[in-house]
Amino acid sequence: MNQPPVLHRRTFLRGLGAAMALPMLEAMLPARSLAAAAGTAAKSPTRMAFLFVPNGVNTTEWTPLATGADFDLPYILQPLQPYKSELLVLSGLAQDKGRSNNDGGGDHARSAGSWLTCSQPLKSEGSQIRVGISADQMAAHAVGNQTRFGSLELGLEPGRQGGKCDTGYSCAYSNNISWRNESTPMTREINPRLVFERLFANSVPKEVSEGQKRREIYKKSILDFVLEDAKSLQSKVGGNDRQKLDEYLSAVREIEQRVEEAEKAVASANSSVTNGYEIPEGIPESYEDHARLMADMMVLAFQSDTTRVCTFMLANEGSNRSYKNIGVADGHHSLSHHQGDHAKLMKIRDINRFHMQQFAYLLERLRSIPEGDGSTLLDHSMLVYGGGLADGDRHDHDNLPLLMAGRGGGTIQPGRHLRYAPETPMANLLLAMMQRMGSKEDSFGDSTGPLRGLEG
Amino acid sequence: MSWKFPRALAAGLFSSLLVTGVLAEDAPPSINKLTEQLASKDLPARREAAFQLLHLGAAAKPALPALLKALDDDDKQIWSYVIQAIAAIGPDAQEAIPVLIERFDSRKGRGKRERDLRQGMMRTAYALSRIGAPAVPPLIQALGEGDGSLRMGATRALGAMGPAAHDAVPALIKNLADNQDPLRDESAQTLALIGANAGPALVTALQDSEARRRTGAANALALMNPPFQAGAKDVEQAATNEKDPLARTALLAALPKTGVPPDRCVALILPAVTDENETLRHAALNALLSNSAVRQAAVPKLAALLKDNNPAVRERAARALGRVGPGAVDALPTLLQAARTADGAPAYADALAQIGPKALPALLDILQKSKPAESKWVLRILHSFGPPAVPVLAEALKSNTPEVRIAAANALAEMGHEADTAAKSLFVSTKDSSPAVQAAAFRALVAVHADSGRLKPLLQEALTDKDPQVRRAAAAGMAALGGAAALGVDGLVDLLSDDNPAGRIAAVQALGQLGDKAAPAVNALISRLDDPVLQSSVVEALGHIGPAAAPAVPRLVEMAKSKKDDQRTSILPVLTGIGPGAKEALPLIYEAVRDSAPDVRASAATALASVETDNGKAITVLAPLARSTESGKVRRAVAHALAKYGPAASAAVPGLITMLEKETERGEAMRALKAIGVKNVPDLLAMLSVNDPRVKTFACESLGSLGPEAKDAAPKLREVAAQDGALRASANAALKKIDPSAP
Repeated sequence: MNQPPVLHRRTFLRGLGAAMALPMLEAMLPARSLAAAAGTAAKSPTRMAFLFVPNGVNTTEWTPLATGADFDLPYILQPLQPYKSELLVLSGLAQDKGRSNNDGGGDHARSAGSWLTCSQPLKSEGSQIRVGISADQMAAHAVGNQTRFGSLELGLEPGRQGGKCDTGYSCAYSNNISWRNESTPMTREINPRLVFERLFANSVPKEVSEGQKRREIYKKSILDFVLEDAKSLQSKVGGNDRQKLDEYLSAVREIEQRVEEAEKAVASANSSVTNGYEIPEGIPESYEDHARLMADMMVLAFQSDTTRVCTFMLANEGSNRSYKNIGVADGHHSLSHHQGDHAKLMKIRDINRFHMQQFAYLLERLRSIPEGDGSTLLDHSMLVYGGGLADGDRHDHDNLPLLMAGRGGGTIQPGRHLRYAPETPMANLLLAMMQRMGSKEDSFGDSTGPLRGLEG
Repeated sequence: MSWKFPRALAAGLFSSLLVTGVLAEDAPPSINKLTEQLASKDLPARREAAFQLLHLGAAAKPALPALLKALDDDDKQIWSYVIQAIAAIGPDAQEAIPVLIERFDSRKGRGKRERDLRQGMMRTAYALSRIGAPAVPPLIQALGEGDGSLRMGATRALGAMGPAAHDAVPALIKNLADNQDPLRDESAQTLALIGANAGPALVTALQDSEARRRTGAANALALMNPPFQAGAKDVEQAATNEKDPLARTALLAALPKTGVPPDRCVALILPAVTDENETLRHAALNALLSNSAVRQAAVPKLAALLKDNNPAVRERAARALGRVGPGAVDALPTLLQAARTADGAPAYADALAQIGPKALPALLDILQKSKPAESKWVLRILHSFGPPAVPVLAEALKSNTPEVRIAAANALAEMGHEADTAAKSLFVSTKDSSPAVQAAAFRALVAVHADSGRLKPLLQEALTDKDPQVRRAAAAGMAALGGAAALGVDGLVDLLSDDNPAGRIAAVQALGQLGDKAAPAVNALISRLDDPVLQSSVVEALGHIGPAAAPAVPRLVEMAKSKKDDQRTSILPVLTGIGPGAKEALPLIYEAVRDSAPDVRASAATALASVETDNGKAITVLAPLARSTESGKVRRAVAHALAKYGPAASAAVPGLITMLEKETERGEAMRALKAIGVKNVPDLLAMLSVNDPRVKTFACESLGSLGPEAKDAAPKLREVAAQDGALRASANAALKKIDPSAP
């Protein structure tokens, strides 16, 4: 018979304005489950994340030549070599609703707007925005009531929510991939401090505000405010859990310090304009630092089961930022209209690979976190990485660049390159993922059934 | 299977209905109204009706006749929504079956583009599958029809029904030998989706006299999930006896998927893993990897093959072990031995890298104990590991052997940013007892983007080191980190001779950053134009130096004659920077203005304006381009170039005015028009028609400045003043100047 667990999964460390969720600890498992942990990976929930990159890719350097498990990673995907066995390369999927379909130009806006909604964005610059609810939000509807937040939306680049961004389409389409309903985007947060506070603040605004002030005045960490609870918890749990808790709290502190450093660095910088746009206050000057900080917070959110659903835009669609840190001074969008120019294609390739390095970082983090049953956080995740355009010059909406990482709690067999029939809807992939998250829907967007083959 | 309207969508639907204005006030849309609207001549109205009907789900049944009619709508959004709407009605849409099946038939083609035909087929098949059982008999009949597209669509629809389509098994098995490859593949997939009910017939088909049918049956069994384990013995026997290469390949894939014991699978698959035929090897490897028990059973057998006498067999076995990944860790000792024998050949490096971090301790151990010459292959392998090898390489920086420490630092440098976590160890190595290690550590620290605040003082100090290789590495680092001023032009010229390419590139780039202050280095830079590693950086640096780079013109002209577009597009801006001093390049520039590549023409237009001192000649060439060229990029470059000539370029005005129509070109065209000035009333009237207040304001002001000469523009100006509040003041001011006596 199962013994009740010592701790509830939703245990928080609390302090003034703070409520810190915890990673899965042995003490949260029923005693019998613990004994059988090696054989059961079912206790951990499945997480879902989507990472979006804009402007298409250098397709010849993206797509592996061979299919099945016997394939080599091309140049752009090589940063993922250490995680190849955790990876599915998905070729052949199309987003028909990103196409013009008699609506004229605006492929960039449509590609982002339709990416997770699989619905045709209504061509409009403002008053009549309409696309569709996105797959992440469908999943959040299914499981969001079991976590503190239904979902988390992250980004790296500022961007307007109104006005025109692409040939008659509102900026809301280009700058968001997550849609709460047909007309309301879930705007992504780009400021690490705000994400940090959201993850660890309690639900009493007055306390939160007071806690923030005290931390600022007395140069305190959020950990100082939950110290009492942390000490009490340490005394209740076993050695493994104590170590895990220590590691978790250290990781929180390390992230908090990086947030603080970013705030100091930008405050002291002579110029906050770099790579073609102004860096708002509190955002790390280095794109890479920013990306990794946000990725680390996504990991914390998943680890502590604060949310199970996340979207992360590595740049807005149509982004024209440059990547001088890797020797690319030209704007990304300008480069994407390469007209076959070899030099431009090489620069696009370098940008694509650089983005991939950030994804590799995230995979490493997820893989390094045990879930208490012999598996890792990555084993219990499904991450889709990619975009809504294949070749940025031709504005192709088929054969999209898409990767999936993780094992979806044992429902996915990674380590393969799967090539689907041309025009297979991307909605089928999203439907298959939604169902793995617990959604009861059997149709989504323009799906024609859940995507087959993910399970092996 | 029942289709329901997604619950989460339902919440948003009502608000969207309000937004789109389909609703009459607060009432839900009536089916009658939507049906009527679906036949409207107004495209947005038809689209909206189709969209709303789709979202009604099964409730849209009364609209089915209208929906079937609308399948022929020319607008893709409409017919696509309509098929989805029929799918959403589900079993109640039975009367749609014949119409939908007919749409598969290419003999009744609708002239759509290929991708839309595919979309149409896929969605129609899905709609039929939603209607369900009543569609099965007519679909089975369609499987025997003469049109390939019809057979294909029917097959797909049956596949989407899964086990419910089991009556179609005989007809599908017949089609496994069809002449069309895609139909055979689709038939196999459909049989797999039908599942266990198709199993016995598929097993029987493994004995068929037609190889295509045997191949298809094996493919179907391989795809079936859950697997058809009752067929294991038959599959094993067929795989043992099969002679046809394609059928054999398909059977290899079927073996692990039908419950054949792992050791028997391995025995049958392994010979193909090391076969000469690459396609067969690939298929065999995929079969081996498709089942974890088979994969594990293969590891010791593959390890044994690493000792085969044939080096090709050994490499193929290594490759297979690599594909097994971390699960092949038991083969590690044998694999390391084979890698050592093969001097770390790529197949072994790749295999070890794919086994992953578990291979790293053994590699570090070899690295620490081996002689310098032997360590190279280990470092090569570590390099292919990527970031997971960084801690091992950082550890190797503590080796007793200087050569290993140097090689480790170099390997980290090659990884670049991915090795940034080794910075701490590399900083320690800058104080190494060996100057060569120090130099390698400095270069690596720059390459991994180590903290420049900490690195710069160390580099500054090392600039005066007694060892020349340390000084050179420090100079390269300073140059790369933007500290060129500390080195001076002489120091950078000296660095152009660095043995390390990264140092030479840093020197060139740093000279470029110095701009015209780097003029004394021009000859040294010209001499490096033959270095393929440096060439593009040198060209860019010369561009930054400006007029003082004139001595480079003859060599640049020679390089531009290579006809490579990217070389010309990089050289022409240098000539622009040099200006009149590059007159020797004028024939090249004039030729480039007529080039077929837009990038080249755009750069040439800019260069011409900078280099040509005869303004009249330059204007004669550039002015017509504002109108005649098809490339917006060239037009923008021409407009930019013409601005410098002011009123002398008035011949370009009509062309520049046509550019105003395009939002992306308007800014550049306006800049040029302002510089040139517009004195012609018809031209200015044309500008008043451009939908941009900046253009209209300029036109008003220009008309005003013409005074009474512009009297023909008065009616248009009055119209503008009446219609556009923002422009009223400008238009009235112009009217006042044209006719001061007017009220």
